[in-house]
Amino acid sequence: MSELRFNPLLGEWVATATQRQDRTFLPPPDFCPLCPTRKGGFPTEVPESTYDIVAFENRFPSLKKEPDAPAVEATELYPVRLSQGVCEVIIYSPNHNTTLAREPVEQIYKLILVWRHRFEELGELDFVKYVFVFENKGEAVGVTLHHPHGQIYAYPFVPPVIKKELEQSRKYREEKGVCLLCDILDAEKRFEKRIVAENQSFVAIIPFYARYPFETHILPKRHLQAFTDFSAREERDLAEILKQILSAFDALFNVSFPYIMAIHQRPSDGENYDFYHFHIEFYPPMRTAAKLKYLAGSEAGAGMFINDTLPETKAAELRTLIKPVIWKG
Amino acid sequence: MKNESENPDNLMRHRRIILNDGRYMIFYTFDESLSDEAASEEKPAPRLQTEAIEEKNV
Repeated sequence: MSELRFNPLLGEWVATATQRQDRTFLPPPDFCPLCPTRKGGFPTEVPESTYDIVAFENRFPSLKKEPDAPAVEATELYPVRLSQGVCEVIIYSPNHNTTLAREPVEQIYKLILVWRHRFEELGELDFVKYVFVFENKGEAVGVTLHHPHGQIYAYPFVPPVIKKELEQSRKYREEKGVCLLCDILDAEKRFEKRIVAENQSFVAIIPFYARYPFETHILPKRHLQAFTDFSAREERDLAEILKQILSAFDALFNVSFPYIMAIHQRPSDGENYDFYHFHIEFYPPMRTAAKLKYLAGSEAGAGMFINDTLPETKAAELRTLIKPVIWKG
Repeated sequence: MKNESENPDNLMRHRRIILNDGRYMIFYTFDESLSDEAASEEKPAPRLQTEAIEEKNV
């Protein structure tokens, strides 16, 4: 059973998806459902092995193209709507024992081309208003399958975090006549101390307002709204800076660093969002080699994050771990 | 049945299959020379070719 239930107190939709209770949970590597099916092996979810990257509809989706009937009736107080959308899994590699950080820059570049294609295709569906590309990495953020993969949720509405960013960006544009993130980028470039990495097209920072110790944002220097606005050079440069940041994350504590990666693009509802600025946000839960940042009372109950560190200090730490990227070509 | 069309100028291909339960799965493959193209700052990024749909019992 699944439906979208409206929370009138927050003005937000909540998805119920009871079938997800039965999804595969941390299987042993020999029984990974995201590995390609091998000859003589057990049948996995991926029936072929000749590919670079695979995208497919999630077997345990919270949003479906043809959604179930809601389990409850809507009322005036409690609106209910169909959980119509698409949930995709994007497998980064046939190799179980890798991560995006360990993949060569060429593979990250391929992934960016796939992200762009999925953004275009899903955004064309009439019931889709927002295409959200993300990755949950590591058990610390609740991963249930270790095979390297990300996800895409194509929502039938603009989700609340994006909505808030859009509102702030629109307001800033109306008041100042310029883009909020362009101004943030200028300020960070002048200040320098929160910059982690930079190339011709992108800057990676731990922002002034970081909520997690190693929260890192990647911003294009050009005012772009979505993957579809990228030049060829920007696609390459994004692959490079992603490789640098992910490798630096792993080098911080010599572990495969857990994180949530959230790609924030314009909505796909046909409206004009030229005031918005594409960016990628990483929320890593590790604050030291042995300690995690949890969402506790203030964060979960009141919405105010408490960062136990200074972004300037953590950006300096991460910056020392940035290495040049070498393409095979 | 193989519906994937060939385009020697294109370095990326994708092929869609339909699984038994109705879900789609898209296999993306890239030509080996993609790395050379990507490493070259002068060349434009390749674009995906039109997809083909292959029905398959999986």
